[in-house]
Amino acid sequence: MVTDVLIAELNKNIDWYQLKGRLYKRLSFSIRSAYLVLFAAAAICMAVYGAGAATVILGIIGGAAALIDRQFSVTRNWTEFSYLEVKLRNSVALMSYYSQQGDYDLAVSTFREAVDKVEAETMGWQSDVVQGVAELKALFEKRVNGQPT
Amino acid sequence: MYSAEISRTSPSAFLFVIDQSGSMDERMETEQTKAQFVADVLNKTLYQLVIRCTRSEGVRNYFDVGVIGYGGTSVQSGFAGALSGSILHPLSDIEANPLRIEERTKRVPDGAGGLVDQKTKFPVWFEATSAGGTPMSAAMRKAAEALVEWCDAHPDSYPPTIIHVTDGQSTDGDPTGIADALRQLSTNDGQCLLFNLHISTGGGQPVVFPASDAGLDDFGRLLLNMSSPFPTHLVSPAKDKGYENVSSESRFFGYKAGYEAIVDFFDIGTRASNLR
Repeated sequence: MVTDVLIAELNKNIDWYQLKGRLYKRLSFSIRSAYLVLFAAAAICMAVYGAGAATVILGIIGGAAALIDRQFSVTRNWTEFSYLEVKLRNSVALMSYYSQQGDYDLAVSTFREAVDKVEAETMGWQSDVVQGVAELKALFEKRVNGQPT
Repeated sequence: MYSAEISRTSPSAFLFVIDQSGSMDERMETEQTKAQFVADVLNKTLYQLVIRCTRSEGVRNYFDVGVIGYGGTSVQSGFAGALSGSILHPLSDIEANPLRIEERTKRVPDGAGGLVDQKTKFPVWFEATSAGGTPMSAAMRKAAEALVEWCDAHPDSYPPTIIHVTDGQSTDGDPTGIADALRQLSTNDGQCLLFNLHISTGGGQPVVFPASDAGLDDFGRLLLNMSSPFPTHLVSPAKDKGYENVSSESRFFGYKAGYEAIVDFFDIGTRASNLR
């Protein structure tokens, strides 16, 4: 059954996004903590030594890190992996039900919507993510549209 | 699991799924029909949620709230007017858009050993209606489709709670499959909670928050299996209400419930311990 293949593929992706989500959530937390520590260090330097070179340098590094993160949504994008895990898991729950009811068209459109969401939400520069999305789309074309990939 | 803080930036959701089939027309001990009584309890629950989330600056959107009514061949939002367009709404929208404010009378002690009538304002959001069959599967499906969208938009939130009230068996097929799918929907904080309440005017011993299917008939067992396990943080409020046997092994399920159990079920089911 086509929908069973699609569901199995999404389940594989859920496991992958779960691992990646955990890793990047920790990384995001570490980076956000790092620039908070820099800010705190700058404030302590200001209190102890006044507006010296150390205060200015720590403040500038902390501020630059925070600004870059905010401007390019770096750590925010990393937390998207765990959001996508939620999206995929819920899509699988609905697809399984639709498939069980014989609503194959609905199951297929739920798959398509999930893949579109993953593609829209992930950053395009990570080769493993790009490859994962390409595999999902190729599977869809091959199994649903019957096109060679 | 089930530990996410509920805040305005990370709200949770309550979705009430209410049977409006013809059999909800039967009268309860209170002389009201089942449909009227459930509507009153639901309206009061919505009002209490609004009050619980009101601070000096107004109503805080700690919850998105929705009602799905099903009966005959239709499954639709249980809200009317400005709220009828979609299923789930922020609590401040609920507060701003009641259908009407009724003036009701309640009897209170007069301080001298007697009772006096006191007028009280009672906002109404959900109207009691009852007609036709019981399209339970279609209602569950509508709930699932609304909650998938909600979970996508709130992936780190405390998961939605669905409170389903019915008095009879599904007339559009076995709802077990869609109930399973509904319980599998999740956020990063855990799976959706599905609480089922069967109400009855036929007498018989009510079974509330059971840990096993002992004493239940086939329909009771079906609803029990559709229900989520009792969330740990709700065990204590349930015990405070007199349900001493409740444990984390119990299911959040009531069978052949009378009016007292209906009120308790809504009250305990909408408690939230982790509001910020």
